[in-house]
Amino acid sequence: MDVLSLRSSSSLSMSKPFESHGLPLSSKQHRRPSSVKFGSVSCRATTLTQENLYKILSVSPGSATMDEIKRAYRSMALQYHPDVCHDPSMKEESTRMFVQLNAAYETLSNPRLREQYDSELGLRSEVMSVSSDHERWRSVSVSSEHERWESRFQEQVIELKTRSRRRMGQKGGSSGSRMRAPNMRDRN
Amino acid sequence: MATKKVKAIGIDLGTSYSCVAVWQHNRIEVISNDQGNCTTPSYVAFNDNQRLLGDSSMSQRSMNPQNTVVPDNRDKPMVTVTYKGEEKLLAPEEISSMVLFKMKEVVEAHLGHFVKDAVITVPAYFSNAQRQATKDVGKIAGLNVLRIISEPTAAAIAYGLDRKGLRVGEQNVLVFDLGGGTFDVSLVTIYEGMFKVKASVGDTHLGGVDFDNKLVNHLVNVFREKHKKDISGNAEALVRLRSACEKAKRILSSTAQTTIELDCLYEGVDLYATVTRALFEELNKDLFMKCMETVEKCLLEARSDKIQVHEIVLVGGSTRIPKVQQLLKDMFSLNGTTKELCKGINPDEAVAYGAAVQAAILSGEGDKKVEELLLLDVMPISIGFEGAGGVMSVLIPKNTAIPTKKERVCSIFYDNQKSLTVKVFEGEQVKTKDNFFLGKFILYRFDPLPKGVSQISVIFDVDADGIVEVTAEDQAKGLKKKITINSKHGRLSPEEIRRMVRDSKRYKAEDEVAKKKVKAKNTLENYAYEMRERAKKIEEAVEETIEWLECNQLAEIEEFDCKKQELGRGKGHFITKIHLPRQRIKFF
Repeated sequence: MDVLSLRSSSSLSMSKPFESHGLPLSSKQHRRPSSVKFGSVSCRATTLTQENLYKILSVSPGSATMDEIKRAYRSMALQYHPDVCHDPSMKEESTRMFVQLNAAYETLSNPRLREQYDSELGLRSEVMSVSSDHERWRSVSVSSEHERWESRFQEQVIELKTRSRRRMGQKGGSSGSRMRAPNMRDRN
Repeated sequence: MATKKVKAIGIDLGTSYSCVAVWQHNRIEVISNDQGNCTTPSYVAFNDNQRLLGDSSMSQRSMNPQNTVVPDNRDKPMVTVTYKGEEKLLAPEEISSMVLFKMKEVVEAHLGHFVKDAVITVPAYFSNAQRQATKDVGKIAGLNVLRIISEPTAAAIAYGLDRKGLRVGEQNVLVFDLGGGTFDVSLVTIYEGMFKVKASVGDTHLGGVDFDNKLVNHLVNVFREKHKKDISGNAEALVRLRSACEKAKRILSSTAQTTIELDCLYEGVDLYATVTRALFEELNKDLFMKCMETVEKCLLEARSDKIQVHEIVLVGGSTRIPKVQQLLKDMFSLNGTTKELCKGINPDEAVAYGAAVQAAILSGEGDKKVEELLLLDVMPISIGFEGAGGVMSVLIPKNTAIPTKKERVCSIFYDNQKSLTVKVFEGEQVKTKDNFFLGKFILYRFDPLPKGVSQISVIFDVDADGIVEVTAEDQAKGLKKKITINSKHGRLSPEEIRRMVRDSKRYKAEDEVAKKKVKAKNTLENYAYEMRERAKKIEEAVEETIEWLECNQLAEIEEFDCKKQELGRGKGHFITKIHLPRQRIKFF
């Protein structure tokens, strides 16, 4: 009997950063916008998702209070929920937008998830910083700048792995019924 | 129809009683039936002449117990009845559709025009299959079901709309729904017109019927001990006893004591028993505590504390039981503060009221009050797919707001695996074999790859109606396969639905014939009595004239002529009246 085995998206992203280190961010965004999926935690997706969650709710990233987030969610739900969309031709689009809205609210209305998300937002700054360093490296000492960049990158990779393991642990704890990738790998 | 918007109605389809409401005159109106009652018994009766729905089916229940049925949504048995001398086998869906048909008639009689669109409520624990089955029931009854919503959600809408003026931010409302046959507890958050279910827990076998049964069993035992006779096998006696116990239960909600008197209950023996509220509470102690445990479970699932509950809304007739109210009040009274239960909402009408609000929202009618409302429904039960080792891999957890879409990337399990089976399940157990199978499909023609390399995306998409669509996609190759979950298990086939729709129309036609018969009979009966009255008056006039003659033998000619004219005038009057009725008889 064929069965599925599970792996978290986050573990897939381990190999991606190496591919992307030579490319500008804008180029990445332009190349593969359709690859963005809500809930994904890969580097590439995170870059776009970070912006989109706050944009979807039309609130400012750093300063939005819980009340503001709730109010924004309510007013936009009243616009996009398929129940208030009486034009049949708009129903599908309306549903799609509401699903996105819900996903954004799910994350931002949960203090723990929001904090985690904001950390990933901070990661984006680090990535940009890396690019900036990269630019500076071209005009200054080659070996020392490269060395510093590589060191910071390694830290980020370690951070991602740690976070991934913690997230898998949390998922396992909360549902008790979800598969854990490490176990699957061991069993294989 | 561009000029006139057809109304969408809200129906509370209950196990024991049903209720219907509609948006009218800028507010929700609960519609009374032809007996003037706002709730209609969910009973259907069959006899040698006709089918009976509503109050009339209830009133003859004692005399016709074998052929008086109620929808059983808990165990879904087929039921045999004798109708017009023939045995009929009925599915629960058919019986439910008859109840819905009656509610449709009730509201149409009130509005004066046909209705088609409806929102119907179901218990919160109803699964995907059961909700789909309820839509089928609506179709059989001639309705277009706009949405199936949970009873507690509908009740919360009724509460929220009633209190909408008091906008004090976020309100957590505990909906305690104890009806005739089902029990639901839900925690609903109301935030400026938006209703979101945080958690919903139910018991499929708990309700007023179970409380009645405790009393019935008690009295069966009393009767056995006292008279050495066992009535538990006698259907007629049991129906009479159960009916009396139900009445006693209601009376005990407002008095401390009552008596049950049933003449000639069994083999010529009477039953006479005094029942106290204390006895009733003692008999049902375990069931009442079970209710409170369910409340605790709901709060746990919602990750809320009792202190966070702002309001407790009572729904369902059984919430009128004083002990139930007392236990609830005690549970939520903290630090010496007494928690009062919300009694502004009629427990029998709240669910239909809320369903009618949702109907108004979906059909686009209603006014500003309704335009600012939105119901965020949730998945009643977790759904996912089978992972390695038969483990349930939940993708959409219970109480996730819908519409929603979730995705997970998976890997193949074997080296060079060429196909993949995705099996979809519904339920809360860790192993799929303990959950409910919804459907499956197979993705073919993979490229040969080592295990763990190929990437398959599994996407669960649930729309606002709770319809589940599952897609599996091989990202590398672009292979895609999807399935819409139409739970077949336990559901009627399209052929069965069509047959039941035809049967429903035939029953309706036969009902109308029966009504005409009754009407014609009544017309004739009234006419006969009227004729008898007229004949009596003629006879009186004639007797009066004869009497006069005997006393006036020597009267003058003029007097005799005058008397004759007087009698003739009266006679002519009567004769004239008689002619018209005679013509009517011929027409009839």
